Amino acid sequence: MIPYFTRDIVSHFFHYHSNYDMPVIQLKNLSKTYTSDAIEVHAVRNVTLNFGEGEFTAIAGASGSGKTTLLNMIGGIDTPSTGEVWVGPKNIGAMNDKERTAFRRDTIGFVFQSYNLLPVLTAAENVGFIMELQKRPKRETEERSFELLSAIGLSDKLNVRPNKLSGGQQQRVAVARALAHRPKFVIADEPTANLDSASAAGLLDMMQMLNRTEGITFIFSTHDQRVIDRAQRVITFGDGQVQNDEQHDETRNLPQ
Amino acid sequence: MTTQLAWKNLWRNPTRSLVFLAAALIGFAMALFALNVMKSIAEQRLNDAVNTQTSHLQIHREGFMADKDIALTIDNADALTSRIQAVSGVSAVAKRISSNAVVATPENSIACELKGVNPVEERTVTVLADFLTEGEFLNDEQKTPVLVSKRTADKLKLRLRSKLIATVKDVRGEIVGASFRVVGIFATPNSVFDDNTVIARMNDMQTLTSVSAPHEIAIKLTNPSDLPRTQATIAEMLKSKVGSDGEIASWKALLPELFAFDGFINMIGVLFTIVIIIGLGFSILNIMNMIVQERTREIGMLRAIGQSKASVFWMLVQEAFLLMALGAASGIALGCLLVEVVSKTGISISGGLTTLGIRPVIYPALNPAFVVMISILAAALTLVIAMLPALRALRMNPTTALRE
Repeated sequence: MIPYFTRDIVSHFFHYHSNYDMPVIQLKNLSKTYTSDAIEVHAVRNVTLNFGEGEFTAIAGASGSGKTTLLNMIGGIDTPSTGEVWVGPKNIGAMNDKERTAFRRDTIGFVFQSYNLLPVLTAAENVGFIMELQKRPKRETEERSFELLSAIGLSDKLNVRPNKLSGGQQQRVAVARALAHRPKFVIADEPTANLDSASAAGLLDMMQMLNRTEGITFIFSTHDQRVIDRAQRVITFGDGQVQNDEQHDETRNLPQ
Repeated sequence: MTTQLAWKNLWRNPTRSLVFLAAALIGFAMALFALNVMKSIAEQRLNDAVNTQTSHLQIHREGFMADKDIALTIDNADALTSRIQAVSGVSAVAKRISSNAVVATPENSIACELKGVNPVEERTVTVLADFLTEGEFLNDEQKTPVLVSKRTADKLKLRLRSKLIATVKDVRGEIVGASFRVVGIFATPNSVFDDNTVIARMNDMQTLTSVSAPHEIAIKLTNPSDLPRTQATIAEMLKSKVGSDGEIASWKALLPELFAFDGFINMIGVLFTIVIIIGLGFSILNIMNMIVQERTREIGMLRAIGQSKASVFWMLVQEAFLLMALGAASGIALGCLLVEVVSKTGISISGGLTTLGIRPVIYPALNPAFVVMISILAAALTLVIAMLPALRALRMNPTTALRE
């Protein structure tokens, strides 16, 4: 669980009021078709969705349902076969590779199932990595890394490499990395899949806290019921299509 | 930032990097050492030939070098010598008479070139006196003295003060002969010169052949690198001298086989170095391929979170560069140290190479041009080789790479 002092620090740094009605991401008739061994695979079929600013959304579904493909297209890692992804006023599909790379670097935070931290960098260096890519001043990067690692209760692990951290700690560092450059939204692909219950709960506490205090839009794929229970909005995905889209009580299951 | 990351990545698999560095250390050190030893052998052979035989430049009458016609002497040689002496960069000048001869003793005879020299002048352009193993150099006090090589002395069973008969063609075309006495025996590293040359005094040769002027003017330069400029200046001087048909030639033209040997040795050295560097380049290629293979998901992640293609490419190329640079720097340092040590202790060249004019012990000197050449070759090859896996990494689709 996230420590109390951490919540205080987070609250101290971030004061934010959500605006769920303002769509920050719009998916319009989005489809993705792969060709594998001459067989067409329809990973995502004609999906139209809006995500509001500050939402904490889970995309639930079984393995192979198209969740990750959808997230990859939202995050500009993958391109749709048909349809459009709009983030604010920008159509990601109309961007060239260079623009999409800059868009991902400046606008989105990514959290991966396998953490994907750079093993040769310390926790603080991993957190500051995207800011380094943005060529932010070294001092600002170091301060932000310390601020975030303190906020997630890892201030004593600044100079520790990932292989000396537990799975839960590594995933927290990965979330801190995703937040360091203050992205508009965070995309997390099965963030709790490799974590035990306690670590998963701690991570969710942290993500929910950051969502509420900093107002960052979180979209994560999961088939973990613990995550689904904590989401403010749950989109159930199956066979590449939206099967259900429901709002939950946003105040329930908040970390105490 | 990419440089720091590349450096840290280098030590992810320390065993692999250290094995490559050990290979590079030995490879670069051996390449540099071999290049310098080979270059020193070629230079020593050339220097010995230039210092004992040709000097840097020679002037002859046109056509003399073709058949050594004794009538083709240089007119006004004294005046010409004075003018050449005044040319900037000329250190010393010596006149010579030269004739094909047969030298005989009761035991044997050989065909050779009999050279008549002015002992004082000759000592300023050649170092023959330094290679005397017995006796003394020519001087004006001796009676019809000659210098023969140790090899000639062995063939003709000559000792100091032994007599020999030299037969030549005189200026009228008559066969004439004279008796000479051996006053000195020399042994230079230049076996071709030793086998074919007997040295007498110029005035004795003039008496024997009835020629009054020299056939050859040998010119030594203060700095051998001034050769093209000085040669052009003297050639201009010869052209402007009315009625002169003298021609000037450098040691490169006089000793074409040695010039070719120098080029051959350099080529072998460079090829040897290229083979070593290509071998190391393939090691780098193999390592980089493994790196890209091992880090596919990581590269996908880097691209996903916004590292540009150029930055990923540069990071991988830098990793290869750092590895090669580290290996090259340590290998070159070891190579320099080896050359430095061996330049003092010498390296023994065994076998029959001395018959080719190579000294039995070589003292190599470090040539900085080889350090530059090796560094440029290594850098260029690494750039080309590192590009292949780095480009492969760029072609990866982040989505696919993340699934690896």
